[in-house]
Amino acid sequence: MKVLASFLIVLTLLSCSKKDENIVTVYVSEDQVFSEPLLRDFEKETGIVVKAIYDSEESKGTGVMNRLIAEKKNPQADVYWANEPIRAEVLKSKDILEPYTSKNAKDIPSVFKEKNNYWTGFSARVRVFVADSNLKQKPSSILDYTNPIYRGKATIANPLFGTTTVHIAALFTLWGDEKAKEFMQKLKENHVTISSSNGESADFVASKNSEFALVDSDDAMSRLKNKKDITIIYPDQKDDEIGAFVVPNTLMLIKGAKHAKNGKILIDYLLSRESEKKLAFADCAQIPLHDGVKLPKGLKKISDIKVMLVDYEKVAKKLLEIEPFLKEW
Amino acid sequence: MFKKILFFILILSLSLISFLPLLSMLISTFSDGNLIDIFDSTSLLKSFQKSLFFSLFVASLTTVTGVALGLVLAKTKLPYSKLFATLLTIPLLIPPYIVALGWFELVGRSELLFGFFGTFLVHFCIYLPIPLLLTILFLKQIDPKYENAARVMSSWSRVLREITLPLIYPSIILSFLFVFILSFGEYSVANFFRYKLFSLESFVEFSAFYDFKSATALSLPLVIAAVVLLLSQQYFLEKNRFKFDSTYEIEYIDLGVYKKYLLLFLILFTTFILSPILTLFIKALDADTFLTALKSSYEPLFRSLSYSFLGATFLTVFGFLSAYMIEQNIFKIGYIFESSLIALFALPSTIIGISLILFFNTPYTNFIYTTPLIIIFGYICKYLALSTKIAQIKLAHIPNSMSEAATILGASWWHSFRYITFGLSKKTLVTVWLIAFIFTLRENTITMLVYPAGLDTLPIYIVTQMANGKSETIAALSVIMIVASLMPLAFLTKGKS
Repeated sequence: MKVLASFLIVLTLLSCSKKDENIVTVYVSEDQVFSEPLLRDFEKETGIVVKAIYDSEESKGTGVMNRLIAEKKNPQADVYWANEPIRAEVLKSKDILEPYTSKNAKDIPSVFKEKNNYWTGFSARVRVFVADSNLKQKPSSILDYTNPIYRGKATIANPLFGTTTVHIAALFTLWGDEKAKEFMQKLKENHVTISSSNGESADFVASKNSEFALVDSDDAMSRLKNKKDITIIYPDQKDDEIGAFVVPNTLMLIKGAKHAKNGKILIDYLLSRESEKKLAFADCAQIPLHDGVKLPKGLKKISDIKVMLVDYEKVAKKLLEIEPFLKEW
Repeated sequence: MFKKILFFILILSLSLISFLPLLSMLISTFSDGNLIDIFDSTSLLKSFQKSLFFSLFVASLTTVTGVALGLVLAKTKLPYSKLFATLLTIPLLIPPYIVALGWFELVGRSELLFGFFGTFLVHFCIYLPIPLLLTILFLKQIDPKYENAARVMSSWSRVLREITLPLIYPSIILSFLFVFILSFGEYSVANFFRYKLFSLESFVEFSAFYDFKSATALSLPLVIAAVVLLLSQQYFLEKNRFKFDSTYEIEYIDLGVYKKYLLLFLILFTTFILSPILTLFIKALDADTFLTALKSSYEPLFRSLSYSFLGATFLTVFGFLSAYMIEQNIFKIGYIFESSLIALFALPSTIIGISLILFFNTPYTNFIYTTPLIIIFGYICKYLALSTKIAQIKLAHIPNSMSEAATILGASWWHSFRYITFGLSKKTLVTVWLIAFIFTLRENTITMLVYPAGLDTLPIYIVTQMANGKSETIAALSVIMIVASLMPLAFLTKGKS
């Protein structure tokens, strides 16, 4: 009887959900260690309680995506904070998003915003090389993955997941299918190691198990801050080269959100210069897309980087097209 | 009448919680005829064969080792045998990816670890306790008079071979079945060590391509393999079922001169199995790091313990009733019901999670979907087979004649069920509850998909922190998880003593 009573008490406690309308539910694909402090600051400053669901390294940023898609008919999230724009395009194509023009979005370059305001980019990562600082001939272009001098000495994260997939899809849109497939084939022939994540790739280089790897700038900066013996290289910066691929975080309002008003307040907050500054100075070292935001030492301004000019909508469509190829590869 | 109403309610509840969500997902999946093309792939077939052989290999080696260790720890007077059993059980309590992480921290990036060997090593470590504990449990069911009689004429080796092992065959078969199913459906370790297994294919369809239907279709071979094994187990056990009245004092084997060598072997073996966990402990030794980790994780920890408490209770009640229904073949659906539970157990957790979302995420069922109840439902879907099977083992040992005698004396079915069936099963049900608690505590895949915002559990918290979190913090959180998981284990071993 005591056990039954305890059980019923626990059941009651757990089943009761505090009715609190001053909340916002946000699904977050940006790493929790970086996003949570910002969301806590939002809570303190606005008094709006944030209920968050974070993604895991294991699901590679797709756990909350699948949840958003499965919940389409009865959405639970108000806002989705994605760590790249392609997931935003996928959700847009599935009619899960509501357009919203934030007052803090007007100074963000249009290339980092969806033309009908379904999503807005902010605080970007750049796809960079981390390389062994003792390397005599350092890579300078993504094509160096196919350079025989680096045979068996380079690493790339699994192209089925995360920002690597997006980067590959971007190359497909720029180069065309034939050249891109040839590049992928040469990657294999050059014995490039496939790691499970960008973080692991960066660790391989830091531990001298690999000479260079293509990673996100936040992975590179965090290893640099931990005093690993690596150097950061922005690839393809020459005039006749394609530029570095930029991956902005993106914010979007969910269609049918139960707390749309609070969702908009959260989006405005995250798109502010102050939020971008916080993310720049955090370990993730993400590059602000607003001009005039103070940066930590070692971080380049977006205007100082030759950016790969792509249409993210086209990249998203291409990603879906090349999925079977990537899976076979 | 009351009996029929009770079990009708049971079937209805379980249908709503688990069968209907999965069934609606399956119907939706196969209404699309193009799914047959998914299986028309040579690489997929190879992946399936590879997974089949891998899991059979894991199940075989784990069962042989576990049974041997169970015999050594239970049937000899080796010092610290309970301690060894407890220590060897630890890897089972921890989410598999944490054990994989521990090996990675210990060994580093090694060609040996990344691939077949690393994946096999983790599977072996985490599933070894299943045959070990089931063997110890079943050895207590053997009446020593059979072994004593045989000992008059034969040596211990022959007695073990021809009396003891045949009497504990149900535990050996059950161990093999559970380890096979768990190993076949486990993808996080294969994902970590980049070893391409069939379970990973289903995960990739789901994760990389948001294709629920293909992911569901790809998971069906897992289910079919599990159900085939179950039917084989049923057939085998029907011919070899022995019934006993109660637990007995185990007859010990005198090890003589081999005692010290066996002790040394056990020390080395246990150290080897626990070395990845010890590595995480060492990494988390900094007090500041540990306290910071504890401060940030106490809420998810509390939620984990609460949800597991509730989940284990539901699993014990449902498991016991389900076991009774199967054993007594109420409504004549014993086989179908049992096969359905095993099928649920074998299904990848990602499929279960999505089916629960699709079924329960409606305005009318928000009271389930937006509360921890949805997590409890996930536990029931995944682990009901486990609690049912363990309860079934006990129920099979309770002779029907006892209930029949009570009925003849005028007792109602309910009185007979409550005071005889339930009365004799109490100790087993405590074990069922503790095992259910352990498994639900470490669960993260279904929880990751269905937990209401802001109500994450400790395994979820650890997994989300792994993305760019400091390795010392991850190690400290893993240690907290391990310690939380050891609490029910302490009760389990105390109960056994």
